[in-house]
Order: sequence, then C-alpha cells, then structure tokens
Amino acid sequence: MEQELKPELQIRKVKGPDGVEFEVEPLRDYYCEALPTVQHGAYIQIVEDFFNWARSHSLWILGFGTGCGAIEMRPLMTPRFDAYRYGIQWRPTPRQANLLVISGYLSVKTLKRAIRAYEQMQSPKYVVGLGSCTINGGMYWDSYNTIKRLDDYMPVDLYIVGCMPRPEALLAGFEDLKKLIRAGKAEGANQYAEKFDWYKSNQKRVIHDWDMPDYSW
Amino acid sequence: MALYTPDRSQYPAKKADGTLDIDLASGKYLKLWQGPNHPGITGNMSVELTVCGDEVVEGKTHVGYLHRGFEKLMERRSFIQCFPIVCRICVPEPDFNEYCYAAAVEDLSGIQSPERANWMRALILEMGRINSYLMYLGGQAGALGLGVIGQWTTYARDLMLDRFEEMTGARIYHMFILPGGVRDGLPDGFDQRMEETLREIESTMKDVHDVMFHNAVFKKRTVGQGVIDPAWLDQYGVTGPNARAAGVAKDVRRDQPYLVYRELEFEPVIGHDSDIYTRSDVRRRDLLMSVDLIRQILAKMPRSGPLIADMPSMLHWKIPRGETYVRGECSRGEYGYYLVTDGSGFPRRVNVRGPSYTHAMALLERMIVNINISDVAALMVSLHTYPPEIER
Amino acid sequence: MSVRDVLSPFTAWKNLFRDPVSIPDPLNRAAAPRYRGFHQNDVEKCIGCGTCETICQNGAIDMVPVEGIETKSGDSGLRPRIDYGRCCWCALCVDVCMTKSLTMSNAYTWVENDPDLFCFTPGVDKKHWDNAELGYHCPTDRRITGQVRAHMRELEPETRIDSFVEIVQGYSVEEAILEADRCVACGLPCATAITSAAWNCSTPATRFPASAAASAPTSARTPALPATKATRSPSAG
Repeated sequence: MEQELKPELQIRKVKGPDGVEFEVEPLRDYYCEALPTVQHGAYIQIVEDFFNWARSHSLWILGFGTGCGAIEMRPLMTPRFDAYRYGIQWRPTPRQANLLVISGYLSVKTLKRAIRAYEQMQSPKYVVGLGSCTINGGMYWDSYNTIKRLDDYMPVDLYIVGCMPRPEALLAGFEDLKKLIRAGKAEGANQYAEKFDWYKSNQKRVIHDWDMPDYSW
Repeated sequence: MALYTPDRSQYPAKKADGTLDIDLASGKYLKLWQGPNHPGITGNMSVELTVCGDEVVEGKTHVGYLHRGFEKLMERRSFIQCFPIVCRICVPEPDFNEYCYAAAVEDLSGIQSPERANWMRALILEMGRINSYLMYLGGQAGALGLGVIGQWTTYARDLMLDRFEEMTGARIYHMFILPGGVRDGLPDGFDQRMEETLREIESTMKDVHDVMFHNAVFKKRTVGQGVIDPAWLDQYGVTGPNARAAGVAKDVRRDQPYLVYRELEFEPVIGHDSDIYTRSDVRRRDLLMSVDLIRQILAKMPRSGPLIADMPSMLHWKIPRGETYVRGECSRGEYGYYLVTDGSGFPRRVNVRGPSYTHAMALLERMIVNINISDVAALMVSLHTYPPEIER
Repeated sequence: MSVRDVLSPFTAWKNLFRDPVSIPDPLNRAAAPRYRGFHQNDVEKCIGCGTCETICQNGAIDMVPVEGIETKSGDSGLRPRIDYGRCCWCALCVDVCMTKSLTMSNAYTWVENDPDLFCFTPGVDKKHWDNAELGYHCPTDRRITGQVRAHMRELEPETRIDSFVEIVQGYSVEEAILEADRCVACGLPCATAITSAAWNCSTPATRFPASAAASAPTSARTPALPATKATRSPSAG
C-alpha cells in the first residue's frame, strides 16, 4: 500500500556544500559497496613483525555468544581464569573487536549475523572455532538447521576441540593463536578477500533469505 | 515507583483487531533491534523494539538463533542415544533435561531407579539450581551496571563447577543421569569439599546481599518495575520463581514431589510485590534454600547400594507403547518432558516444555510495553530465560 | 530507601584485602580424576567388535583397518577411529566397550588450525595422553549392555544317571531372547555373546508377542543412524 510520505522522508535533491546536487533517499540504507581487498604487510619485515607482535598482545574478542560454548567465556572474563592478564578482553561491538569466537554450533539464522559481525570487524581479524560443532557438525551433524563446517563460510584460523572446551583449553587456544599471529600465519582476513566469491556462494547456499549487502562494512 | 511518564497522548491507538496502529513513516516511532549481538540481552536472541522517545511501545521477541531441532533429532536416535543429546537443550542448567528424560523413559519402561541414584539425582539437580541462580544474579546485576556481582557469582559458580567436574566428569554437560540411575557415586572427600564450596557461596551471597540488594541504585531501578500481575500467571503459563514472586506458591518439588523431595524439609520461597526486585530476592533466597537442601541431602543420602537398576541391553532396548509427562521444578519454573513411544527402539515424539519459552515470548512481549529502553535488559534478565531452551 | 542502601555497597571494598582467587597457571591445570577427556585405546586388548561405532549417536566412530593388526579369529583387525569434529564426550563408547580397552584420559587441550586433523585412531596414532593414568574408565560393576548370563537348566544327576534324555535342557523362548539380548552382534566369536543367537533372534517379533520389547536387532551391521523405516519398527508391520 502506497502511502504519502512526510516531506522529510521523501526522495529529494540536495545541494552539497561543494555545489553538487545529488539525490537523497532517506529510507534507504546506505553502505559502502566496495568489496574487501587483500591487505599487504609492511615493506620491511621487521616492521611487520613488530605489528604482529603488537596484534598478538591485544586480542579483543567480540562478545557475541553464538552457541553453547559462550557459557565457558564467563569464567574466562572473571577473576578465576582472568583472561585479561593474557591481553584478551571482550568488546560489545564488532568495530572494536578483532577476534570472533564462534562458540559452537551455528544455526543458519545466526550464521547470517555472524557473517555480518565478521565483515564489520576491522582488519586484521581472526576467527576461532570452538568445539566439535565448528569442525565437523559435532552433536548436530544431522540437524536441519545448523551448518556443519565453519570453514566453508568464513576463514577460521584455529580450532579448539571439546564439547565444550574448558576455559583452560580456550586459553591454550588463544595462546596458540598468538603464536600464529606472531609468525604472520593468521591471514584469515586476506583469505576471505581472495576467495570472496567462494565464501559468498557457500553462504548464499544455506542462507535463503539473503536480504543484506554482499559485504557489510 | 513508575519511571515512565504517564502521558499517553502520543501513544499508538489500537486498530479494530487489537494490534497497534504504528505509523513508522510518521517519524514518531523508531524501530530498534536489541540483539542478538548485544550485551543487554540474555543470550543469542533478539527483541525488536518500537520506541517512542525512549519508551517502548511494542516489543517482539525474535528467536531461532539457537534452534537445532532437538525434538526431531531425538526421533531418530535410540533411547540411549538420546541421553547425551538432551542436556544440550539448556546450556546453563542441563541436568533437568537429563533427569526429566530419564524419568520419562523409566516411567514408560517400568524401570525403577535405585534409592541411592534418586538421592544422587536430587543432589545434582540442586547443585545445578545453585549454578543457574548464581548466573542469573550476575546477569541481573550486570544489566543494571553492577558488574562486580557477576565477577563474584561467576567465581562461586566456578567452584560449584569444580564439584560437578569431580563428581560427574564434566563441567557443563554432565551426562550423568542415565535412564535407570546415575553413572557413578560420590568421590572420596566430596562432602568436605562440598561443604567448603557451600560456605564460600554463602559468604558470596552475603556480599551480594549487601552490595546488590541494599543498593540505592539497584532499588531505584527495580522496585515497582516490571510487575507481573498475579492474574496473568495462568493466562501466560508463568511458573517457578516468577510465579512465587507474585505470591503464588507454585513449586513442583512440593506440589508433586519427585525423587526424594518428600523426605526433605523445605518451604517454597514466596515474595509478594512481583517486581524485578522481588524476583531477584526470591531467587536469592531460593538459592540459599538449595544450599540447605544440599546439606540435608548429603546428610541423609545412603552411601552404599546400587546406582543403576538392572537394565536390558541398551543397544536394542525397546519400550512398549505409551505416553507420559514428567515434570520437575528447575530454577526457571516447571520443566516437563512429554514422551510418546510406539514400541520401537526410538521415541515417537519428545516434547520439551521449557519455562523459558512461555516467559520470554508471550510474557515478555506483554511486559515490555511502556518501559524505558534502558530497563529492557533488566526486565528480560529478571524473567530468567535461557535462549537455547526457548527454541531448542 | 535508607542510609544503609547508600553505604552498604561500599562494603565491596573489603575485597581489596582478600587474596586473589585467580588460578596462577591455568594452562597447566589438571582436570579432575574422573574427567572425560580424550580417548585412549589399548589396541592389544581391542578386538574391533565395533560396538562403540554402533552406539555412537554422532557417527563419530569409524572402524578402520590398521597396519600391523591382522584379521584373525576373534579379531576383526579394525580399530575405532574417532572424529573429534563429531564427538561429544558422552563416554557411551567407553561404557559399552566389550573388552574395556577403550578409555578416556583426563587430557583436554587440543588445538589445530586444520579441521581435518581431528580424526585419529586412539592407541595407534601416538598422542601425549596415551599413557595418562587418570580419566574416565568403565566402572567394573555396570555396563549398558546385558551382563547376566541366563542360566541353562540341566537334568539332575540322579535323573540322568540312568537315562538317555538330553542332559542340557536348552532355553525357553523367553530365556533365549533374553540371552540373545546380551549379544552385541559384532560378528566375531567372542566370550560375551554367541553370534548365532542374535541371528536366530531376528525372527519377526510377532512370533513371540509377549517378549517383543526385548527382541534383538534385525541385522548385525545396520547402522543405528539414520534409522530407516525398516529398522525403526520391526514389530509394527
């Protein structure tokens, strides 16, 4: 049903400060349509090594509990296991995080949100798959609503096995991730940019109601 | 003490069919998504809020982020194969699933679990209840900015997880209550370590009482807020502490005693004001009651005897045709399993009645209207729902 | 609201004088003695009966041929390979293990960057937890398969001393079904079961309606999951 929009919501022409006129559609979502690109390291190896060292010491995890495994994150955040002393902390928004922990199974509906969250994170970014479910389906290998291999949908740097992994195993995993980052081997974000079409086609194969931009910044 | 303005002049009128007449294009209303990736949400779920100013005029719960199709999965797993999968239905308090499933299977197959196993089961369920409440208290305080409570209660919960680990062999998913009994007895020296843990939890609860319940900010934001009308209880299927805080003593442990609750001394904890503060307080006192129950159980439980009944070979175990409903009082309300068997080796239908579903869907949508955006998180947490259990 | 409500929260400061509760070295913390961690298998004891494969609801266990282990009478020559991308550490495989060769250590840390590396044959692929003492073992007094052997009646010595009647009287139908229920249908002649009993027991349950609930599976090697219509309800037709 077409209804008369209020004047401020109608499509209108606006004159910018530089004198150029352009059309504004207030009800449309604007986003950057550029696709991700491969980020090359610094020209000098020692500088890149320094960057990697710095990156490895500030793993900021997106506080998005996608599945069961999120319950073992709480002991990690709190004094008993205290991950903060290892340079790990949790952030509420993807913009501030550089590590996405997929904590267990991903239902198709969550996969969509996880992809958005991953794409909104700043490069360099890392993904850790936690628990059996991310490796080969785990408990829900014959479920109609979960994905089986996280690898097909986003580049995973590391897997921690367990159902669910204990906080100690998670810490060990994060320590291993730090080693990977320091060695310059955690190149998930670049891999995502290189094989973007492959990842997208896999994602669209399971997410049937794809109503978002191909790459959401 | 209502924090919202009683002026409803700019509020949406109701259409003839009872739905709200919300004209988004008018610019008066705004859609806000709270969740699934949001710190002020109880887990992986989301609420679609329509706000007018900073006040919610409509809220819709969106779930399905954690749906795994348990009830379908169980139809193609044999009875023993269902046992490891049921506990995954509710992550923070998995034991009730194990118990209800085991009890339903025992009911239909005519197996009687041994006396000692029943005491062990009651012990595990009470320990799980404490865990669940500790997690709740941290969340409730955290939703109102009192982060320190969560730090304390998670530590206390972790001590309890250690007891679980040494007893059952796992931290979160214990997979300990087999159909027919339990897996193992208590390890050596368990009682003493349990007593130390209980003391630690009691001292933590004392601190929580001082810092959270006698806190001007917490009181200001919770007293009189988020009231459940006692008349709604039956309409919305409200059970557990949410109902007890409204003054209705609904407690399956007392109304229809299962396991060994007949032999334990306890009174359901009741509150009267039915607001967020009362619900938190009822849960705090219920937690302390569970501590007391654990002491009673450890004092009374038999230390020798069989832990599992004589079972047929579970590899080709068939259960005669029948149907049953088994209920238990979990930390959120009545937990039930409806099991139908058709004489084969697989359940014909398993239906899980989780209290989170009724509380988080219909009740939350009713209660969320007219509250401030910043109170949405506190209200959601106060209903104590676990998203994995809502959608299973 | 009272003065207490304003002052009481400040009691939280007393924790300044408390010892920290953090675990100093969480990376090397041992799990509880009963912890269900990663699998161990005594390949010498294992006979490759495949019961663990049958009971695993996640299809995590495959029986695979192993170099150096011959197929011989009483040993299929196969050993369980476990996919940790499927395993849920429920330990049903340990409970059901006929020879008690499969156990669980209390090791719990395993991190890889390739998801395909999590498939391993315990006991064959060397792992650091192979010799761990602690962990979950099948308790001696309980198994989730039938344990008690049905007693077979014989003639009393007084009667049989001067007659030619068969001394061993055999099982009644109910006893035979109960006895066959113990069978795990591994296909190997082993001490715990008589394979032929299980095969004989695949007669339609309609012949013995009284004990339909206890009848044995129709086929030895029918995978438990996903169930086909035929295996799901043999008694329905």
